[in-house]
Amino acid sequence: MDNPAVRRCAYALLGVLAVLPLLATAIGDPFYLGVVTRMMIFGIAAMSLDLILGFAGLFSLGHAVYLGIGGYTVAILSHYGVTNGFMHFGAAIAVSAFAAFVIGLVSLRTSGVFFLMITLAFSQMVYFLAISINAFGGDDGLEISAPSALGLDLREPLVLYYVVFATLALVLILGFRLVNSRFGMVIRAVKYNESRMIAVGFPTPRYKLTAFVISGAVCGLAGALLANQTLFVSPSLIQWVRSGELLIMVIAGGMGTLVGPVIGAILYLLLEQVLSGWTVYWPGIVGALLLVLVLVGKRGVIGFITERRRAA
Amino acid sequence: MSDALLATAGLTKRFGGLVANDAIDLAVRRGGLHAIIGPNGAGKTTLIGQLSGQLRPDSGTVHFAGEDITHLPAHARAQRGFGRSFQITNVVAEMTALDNVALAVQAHDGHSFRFWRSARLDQGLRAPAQAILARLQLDQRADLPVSRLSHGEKRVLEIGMALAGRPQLLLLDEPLAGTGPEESARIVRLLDAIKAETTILLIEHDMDAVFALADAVSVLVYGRIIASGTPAAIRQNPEVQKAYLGDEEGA
Repeated sequence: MDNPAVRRCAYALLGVLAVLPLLATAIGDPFYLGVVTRMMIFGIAAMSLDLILGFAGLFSLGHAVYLGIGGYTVAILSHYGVTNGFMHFGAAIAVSAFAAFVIGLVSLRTSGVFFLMITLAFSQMVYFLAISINAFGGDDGLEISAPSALGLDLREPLVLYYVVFATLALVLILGFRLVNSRFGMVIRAVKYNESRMIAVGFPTPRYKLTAFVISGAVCGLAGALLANQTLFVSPSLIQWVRSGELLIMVIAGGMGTLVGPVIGAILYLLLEQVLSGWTVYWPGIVGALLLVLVLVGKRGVIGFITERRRAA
Repeated sequence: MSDALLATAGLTKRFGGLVANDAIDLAVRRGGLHAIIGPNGAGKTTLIGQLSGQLRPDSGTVHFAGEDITHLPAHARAQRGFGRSFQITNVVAEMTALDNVALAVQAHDGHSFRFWRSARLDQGLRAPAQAILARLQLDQRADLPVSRLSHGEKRVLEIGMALAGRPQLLLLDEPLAGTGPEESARIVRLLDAIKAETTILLIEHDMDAVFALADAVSVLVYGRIIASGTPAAIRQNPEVQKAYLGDEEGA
């Protein structure tokens, strides 16, 4: 980002996440380690959505489809006895990227509400496909017998935590480079004024499609990590409600900042964790909070953090 | 015809029953400023759309620098040196003036599938963009978001973005639209300087500006070119006077 306060915020967050396991160990409750791991995985997924939503201005309501494709790729490979982790992650990224390429090729011909509907339609197609294939568990989902073999024991919560943390840090840092690169400048300008970018000589569709594919691939990677944590995948991963949750994380955290959506993911799952213990109506409370957040400050939680810093 | 930088032959565009451009033969010679004038509804916007690649002609051809570009998309025309500005200010308002021009420079500096180096620290983009802003006397305003520039400054920036690609031809769609007398004079001076090195095709309502700047004028009325020639010849042309200039000179 251009805003140094956002960058500082990102490094501070990475710092906290790096030392958090020490704290959890001190408390002696490894359960929280798993919760934070899950938060970081969704943080990666939310960042991938932010790339197309916050930077390129593409409102996808089907982004969970890549989460599902990444997860199912791992599950299906291990179902057929492939245990190699590099195969798992490589395939999850490749298949998601390919799916994003196909979906993007069709949906990027439209924009606005129509783009939203087409991405939703694609994710619903994949959702019903996942339900209907009984060989892969259908509605019941598919269990994964063992995590991806990477030469590390991903069953160990602490190991998984740091694998996910390293991935998050890598995606965040590469993401910052990308949005400030020549490529990043093009997709950001396209968000505001595509016709001008065409007139100036950019073949804009191929830049948008590339951003879409990168986004899908990163989200697929998050899906593969998620499958390794839960050792189970089911069609609910792909449901459009999931896509909606990703949108909430990005918007509540702060669009177009990369780190904002990570914070959004952490807060959303934190609320889910805390509130669902009190009441089954917790999504209503989250909805009300989101309403307030969007009305008060359009820049999300990250806006509050960075603005206050500037005022101080 | 052979020394024409831009030439159309029988260029026609219909919208339903309306013939917006009716078999237009236009030849813009290399060098100098060629103006197209015409009353509202004459088909100027349609013509620009067809020249720049936003509208597909129903029939006829467009040749640019000896190449048939009739079926080239807009971005490819820009890549070949066909720069344009818009009637309604069309810039990236959320970015700075320098960003806008730097993006225009970038569009002509190979592909942009470069993901690592910061574009804003890239002197290969920033330095030429700065030079253009300096020439436009916008260098003091380079780091302001475009939304904070005055209307006249935005009009100038619009021209600067078109200049960034070092175009062979600059198609300017009413660059004086909505400007006050002072801003207007500034843009006319700028165009006078630019036309010494770049061919300009100017679509403009401001007759004083057109006759001050133009080396050649074409008059578009009801979708047809009714006259082409030197400004002096156009002034004398009785058909043009009847169709168009009569009102203006009476005013």
